[in-house]
Amino acid sequence: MAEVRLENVCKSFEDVKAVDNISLHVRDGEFIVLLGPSGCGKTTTLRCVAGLEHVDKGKIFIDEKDVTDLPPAQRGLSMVFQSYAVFPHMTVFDNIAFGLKLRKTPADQIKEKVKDVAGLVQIGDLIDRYPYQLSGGQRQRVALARALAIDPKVLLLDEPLSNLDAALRLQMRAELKLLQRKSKVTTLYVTHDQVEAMSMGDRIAIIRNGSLEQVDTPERVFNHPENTFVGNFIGSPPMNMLECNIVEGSNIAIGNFTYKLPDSVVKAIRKTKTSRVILGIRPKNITITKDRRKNAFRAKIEVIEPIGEELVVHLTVEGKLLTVITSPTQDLRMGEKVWLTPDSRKIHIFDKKTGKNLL
Amino acid sequence: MKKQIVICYIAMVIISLFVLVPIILITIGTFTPRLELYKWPRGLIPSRFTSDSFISFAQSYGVMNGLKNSIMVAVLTVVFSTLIGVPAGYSLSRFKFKGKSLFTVGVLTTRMFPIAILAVPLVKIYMGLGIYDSILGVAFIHTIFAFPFAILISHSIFASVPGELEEAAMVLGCSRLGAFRRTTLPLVAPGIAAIAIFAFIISWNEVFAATLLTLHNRTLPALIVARLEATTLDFLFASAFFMLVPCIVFIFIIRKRLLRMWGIILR
Repeated sequence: MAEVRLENVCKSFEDVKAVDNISLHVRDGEFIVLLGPSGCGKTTTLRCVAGLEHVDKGKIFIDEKDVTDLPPAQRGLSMVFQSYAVFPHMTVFDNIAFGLKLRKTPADQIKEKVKDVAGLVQIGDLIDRYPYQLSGGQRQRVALARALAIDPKVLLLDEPLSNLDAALRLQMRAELKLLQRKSKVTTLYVTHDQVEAMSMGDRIAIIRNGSLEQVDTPERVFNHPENTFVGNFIGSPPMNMLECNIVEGSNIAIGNFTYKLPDSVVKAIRKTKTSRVILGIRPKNITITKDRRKNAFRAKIEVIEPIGEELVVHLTVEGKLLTVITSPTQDLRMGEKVWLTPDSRKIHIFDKKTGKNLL
Repeated sequence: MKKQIVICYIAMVIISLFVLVPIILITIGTFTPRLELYKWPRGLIPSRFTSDSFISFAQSYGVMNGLKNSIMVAVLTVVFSTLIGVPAGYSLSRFKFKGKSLFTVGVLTTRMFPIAILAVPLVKIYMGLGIYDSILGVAFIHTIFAFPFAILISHSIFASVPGELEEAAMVLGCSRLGAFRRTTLPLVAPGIAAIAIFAFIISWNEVFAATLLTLHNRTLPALIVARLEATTLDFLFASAFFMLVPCIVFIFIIRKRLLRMWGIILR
């Protein structure tokens, strides 16, 4: 059990800033997900915590102890690699026992512990096999068992599910989460898959170009994105972003249409004195109607994608592309002109210049 | 499909015969009674098998000394080229550094200059250094021949072992060296053995530089070459056979170990 604190951590590779001034406080027993597009520095951040990369600047603490200059072995954490890194020349038992043997644990205790964790990840009957006799999913479990066997203070997981097939990934996702709940080990989990992040994390740290964009609960990240990047990155299909001008104080112009903003939103915008904003609205929060409603704007249906339970409709508004998710019971045709009404309680207003959420 | 397999088999038979026929003839020649070798016409199979030629070769002047020299040179070559080549191969596969590709090309260019071009300067330098006609001197030049292979082969062997294995071991409690010893080393050990054997064979077979750089302390091949003109058929057969056997044995050892090693890593 431990907390992890990163203070202004920087790490560059030649000219590339992989980690750019990241500060993050992971609470004791928390499951935190580092999420971002590939190449954003999330894995490097994790490797810095593990001690596999030496930070250029900043400090890393585990439980108030400065571990910045300690080698990986002395940090009391364990890590599961994307490739699993199961030792091919050792049996499953020896793999799991590896860390315990290094700690000079007595043989009978090792046996017991290995049996325990192997049972926990459901590979109890594979103990005498070699890795090449195992499937990808089983190797993944060996790697996990090996990491858990040493009772780490912190567990680091680097895209552990990315090499599994879709069905297994779903299953392991639930199992991993359950396992973490049970063991209460502080966990840092790296992924580029927002669904994984949303479903597993207590909090999500969204990273772009080596910097933290937002650290929040999945609910907050989804409903209150701090900027356009987070709004765009979380949610599938992504949030619609419409550039507009503020006119007459409480209206915004989307091309030839004006959209009246709720008073609370107007108040927030006034404070910032900006005139160019981006209206962000999720595809689910727009209603399509055939008749004109108040506060609606005209759009043309370009493409309709039926995906079973819902309909993904791509429309153009004044030449800009918009996505709406609606019910398949709605009778819509390609090329049809319809009216769109955004749910005014669910809109986000971002500053055009800084990308910051103004609400 | 079937046609391709047939062609493949025919090619395999031809290539095998090309290598095997001389080996078989040399072996038969070695164990044929001395006088029968000069008979004409002579049958393929001798009237009886005898080890006379072989024994007299082994007992002839300088052979045992040459053998001793050859083994010492080969062992030194193995030690030097493994000590230089394996760490270099490890660095090439694990670390990024400036001039890495230049270094790799540089390693190859050491094999670009035929020894014949370098012969005279080499002898001059050796004499200046005082290592002319010495075991150490021959071992040095053989190391030059062998270590590029040691670097390139160990590079590819280390590259086949993921670096994450060492990192995983380090996180679990190993030092950098300990992680290498417990994960990478056991996986590459057969490969390093193969490199050592390869270096041994390179040194064991090398004639030109050994002849050039020695006078009295000749290695076995250099000794045999020096006597080629004024010697008998039985000596030739016996010496060829004697040089051949270690190579064949070693290649069989390498073959088995290489297959086993790559079998594990590739899975």
